[in-house]
Amino acid sequence: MSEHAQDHAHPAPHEHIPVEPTGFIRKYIFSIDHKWIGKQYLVTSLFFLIVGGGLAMLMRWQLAYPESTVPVIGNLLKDSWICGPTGAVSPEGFNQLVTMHGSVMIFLVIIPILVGAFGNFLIPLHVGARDVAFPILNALSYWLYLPAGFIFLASFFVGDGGAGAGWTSYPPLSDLNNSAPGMHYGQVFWLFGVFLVGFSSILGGMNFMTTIIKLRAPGMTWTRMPLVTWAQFVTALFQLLATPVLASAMMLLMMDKLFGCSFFIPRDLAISGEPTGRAGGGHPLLWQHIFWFYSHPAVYILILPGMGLASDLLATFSRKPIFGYKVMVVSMTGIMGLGFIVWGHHMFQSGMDPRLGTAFMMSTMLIALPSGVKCFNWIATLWQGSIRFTVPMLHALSFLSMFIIGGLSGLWMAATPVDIFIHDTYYVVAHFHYVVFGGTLFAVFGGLIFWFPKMYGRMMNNTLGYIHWTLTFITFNLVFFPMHILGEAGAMRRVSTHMVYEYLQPIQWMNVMISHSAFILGFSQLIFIFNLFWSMYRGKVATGNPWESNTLEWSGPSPLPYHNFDKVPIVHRGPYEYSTGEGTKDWIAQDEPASAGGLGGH
Amino acid sequence: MKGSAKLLIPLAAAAFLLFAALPAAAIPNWLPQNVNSAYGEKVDGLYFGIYIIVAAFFFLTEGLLLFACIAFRARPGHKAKYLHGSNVIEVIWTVIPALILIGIGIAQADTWTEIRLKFPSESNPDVTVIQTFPKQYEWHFRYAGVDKQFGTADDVYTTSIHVPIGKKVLNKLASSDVIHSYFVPHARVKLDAMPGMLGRTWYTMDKFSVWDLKAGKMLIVSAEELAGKKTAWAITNSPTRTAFAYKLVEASTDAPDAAIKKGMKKYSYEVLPAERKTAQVWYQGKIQEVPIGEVDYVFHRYEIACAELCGMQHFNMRSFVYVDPPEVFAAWYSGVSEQAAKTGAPETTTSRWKLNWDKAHPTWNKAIE
Repeated sequence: MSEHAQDHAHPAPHEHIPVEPTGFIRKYIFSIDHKWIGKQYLVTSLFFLIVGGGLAMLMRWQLAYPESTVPVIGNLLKDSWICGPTGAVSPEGFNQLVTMHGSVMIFLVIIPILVGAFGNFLIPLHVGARDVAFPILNALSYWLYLPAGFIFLASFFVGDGGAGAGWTSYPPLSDLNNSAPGMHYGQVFWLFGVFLVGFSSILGGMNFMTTIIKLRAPGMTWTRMPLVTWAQFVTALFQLLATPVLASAMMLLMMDKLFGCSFFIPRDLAISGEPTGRAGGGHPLLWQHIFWFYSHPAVYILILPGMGLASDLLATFSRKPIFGYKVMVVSMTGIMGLGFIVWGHHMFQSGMDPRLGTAFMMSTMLIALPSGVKCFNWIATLWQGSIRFTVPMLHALSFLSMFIIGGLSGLWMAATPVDIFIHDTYYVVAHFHYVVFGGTLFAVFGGLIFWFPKMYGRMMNNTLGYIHWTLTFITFNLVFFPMHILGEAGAMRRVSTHMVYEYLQPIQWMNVMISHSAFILGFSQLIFIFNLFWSMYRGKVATGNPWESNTLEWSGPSPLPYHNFDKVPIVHRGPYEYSTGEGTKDWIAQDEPASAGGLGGH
Repeated sequence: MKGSAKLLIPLAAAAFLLFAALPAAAIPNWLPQNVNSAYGEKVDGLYFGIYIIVAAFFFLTEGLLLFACIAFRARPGHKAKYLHGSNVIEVIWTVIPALILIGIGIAQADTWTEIRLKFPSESNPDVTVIQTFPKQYEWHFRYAGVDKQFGTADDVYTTSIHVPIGKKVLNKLASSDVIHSYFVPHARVKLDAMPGMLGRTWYTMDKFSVWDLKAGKMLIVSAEELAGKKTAWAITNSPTRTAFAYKLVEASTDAPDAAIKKGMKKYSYEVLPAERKTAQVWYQGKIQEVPIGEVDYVFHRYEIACAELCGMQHFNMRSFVYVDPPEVFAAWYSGVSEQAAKTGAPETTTSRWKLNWDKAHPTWNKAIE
């Protein structure tokens, strides 16, 4: 009823057309245009992707060839905090690499590229708005994120090295300034960086939520929103509800470190037999509860927008409506609801009350359900479609197939008795890389190639795209699948070499094989980065709708003007009306009037 | 675009087949051999139970995906079907997986309870209680000694542990600095040692780790399999000082052999002293003296690892469990206890054991047996 009423609704309250600033600073640096801020996020997070990937390469070198000089850059790194006098990665350097690789990838790459780049670029376009609800706040989000990133990196260069307590930074290791190298200033910088990036995340979540609730174009009902935007909406809720908890954890730990409080320090603690001088009375388990109360939902922040991107790509290139649109939306909200009550599964072996372990096991088993249902729906979307194997589609299909593996391997870890053995082994590393790399990053690559014409007015090079996908898909599996086997054999994560252990020496060949594949995988990403920047200037000029897609942004030219839409669009139907059988083409834009042929509903 | 799309179908198919072949590579059992007879089999059983369910879902979903990619590829004359979904199908693929997931959860619960909530009683003389006190980056252990009382003169302080075969072992864990995690892969045991909190974990090890002198490698054998073999002791694991016959040699090799990477260690046992003619061995259930040439095995060890990032030397925080025949364990236990009573514990060590181990248990951690 209301849908039809809105079909002919009247100019949105937002008909004011913003004027593009002409000054260099306002246009390119402190821009408040969501598209430009999205691109700023994109380029910045790709820079950090190279940094985080580089750290991973150093780790892989050390794991394959322990205590050997790092090739090429070994001499440069000699006697640094990462490498020893021979230019080989030192044990404390390895801990820093582990910590910073995880933190950079999670806080500076995946979340910013999903939410900052795609959220910024797509949300206003998908709901038919001229900008986000709070454009200046939006710019502020970016300008909190960028310095946070540099504070992270600066952590390597202060005191006696970077933060080295893992991205989870469990106290007392992270809490006591003398517990290991890098635990003093490096750790404080890390905490401050996370605090800032968390703040940026909270502001972004608030902004996007308001935009989606308040700035939808006439006719853009909740059930006509593309799933990308739905995913961003659920993610924004997550960010708004969970990130403040992370910020509080960072504050408490900073107070411990800087002002000698004891939130996470029990009585009578000593490092090398020397009393810490703290009053004590706190508890390290408290940190784990607070940290994972944020960081488990954060895992879903890392995957939900990827699910959204893949949904759009799979529907577009199957030339079929998404199967079970409403079920998809319900699944995402289900993931959010359950996502808040599963954090304890990170703590099964921490000494937490085992009865809580049983409860968390059951909730964790259940959260597999909405993800599973989504996978079935994606496969059903492909079913009886007319699948076009474009480069973005190959990435979307990779997302789906790899996410299935990442999801299924989670079942072992959810099962508490089995988790006793695989907890803190490479099994866990394999699992979350299948989700975050195999899932999210493939969706990101697909999404970037897909929306690149809308961002820069040119197409990305197809041949380079195919080469990049093929290399990435194969080497990704060669890197991360054997890690399941390493975990099954009992190889601990976060150790700088497995060679110390008799029972792990026979499988060292697997570490060597993984590392060599990882080097090819890392190199392949440079092809993508090259393609991206080369195509910005030299790519084939794009038409307005090169992929024959339905959502609002494709109705305009590529790239879109500063104000997005000359006239605020009126939405007539859902986002995935492909192959309706009416008219000559197999797609109908969301803002095409009903008389042009096509169904009015969604 | 059209031409390359055709090329891509075999490419995509090959890629998908590649990863379909990878799980097949995982089928051989890579788990370390299970030596925990208390609940190890159950844990491994659950592991492989989930494996079967996961494999079924993996081949179902990826198979359908692969089939869809081939059967529904864009080609001239082929049109997509306009379809929004089906509530019946949605209900089916929600309810069935939900039941399976809840079933998996329920199947785990009893084993979890058995491992983590039902502890052997400390007053049972057959239970070996070991207080475990990791610090950066060492493992420290304490036995109560012959008097079964902790905090007395005959307490035994060690940096690796001996346990009797087939008897319950109870490890009580606490840390004085950062979080460490007690991980015995072969026994399927892992629990964090948390500062300010006591943890308990228990297990029964029912297989010996021995070094086969002829084959030059570690074997895991049951008591029956060991009965016919003459097994000697090495300097690190002897029941009494006079019984040492061998010394473990860890040689780091930098050989450019592709199979042996830098840092990989080669292990061997050397006779100690070299001119030794006879050795004490465990043979047919007794300690006997045999000529050195007749020795088959040397008692070897299982490794203990730290599984929680604990600082700089975390990767190197290793210790050992020696599984002893019951009589040998009893001899070792009374021997080291008497020795401790005579010499007293080193001053530097005792300061770490001030914790009140008995009163500090959280309520859930009570023995139920």
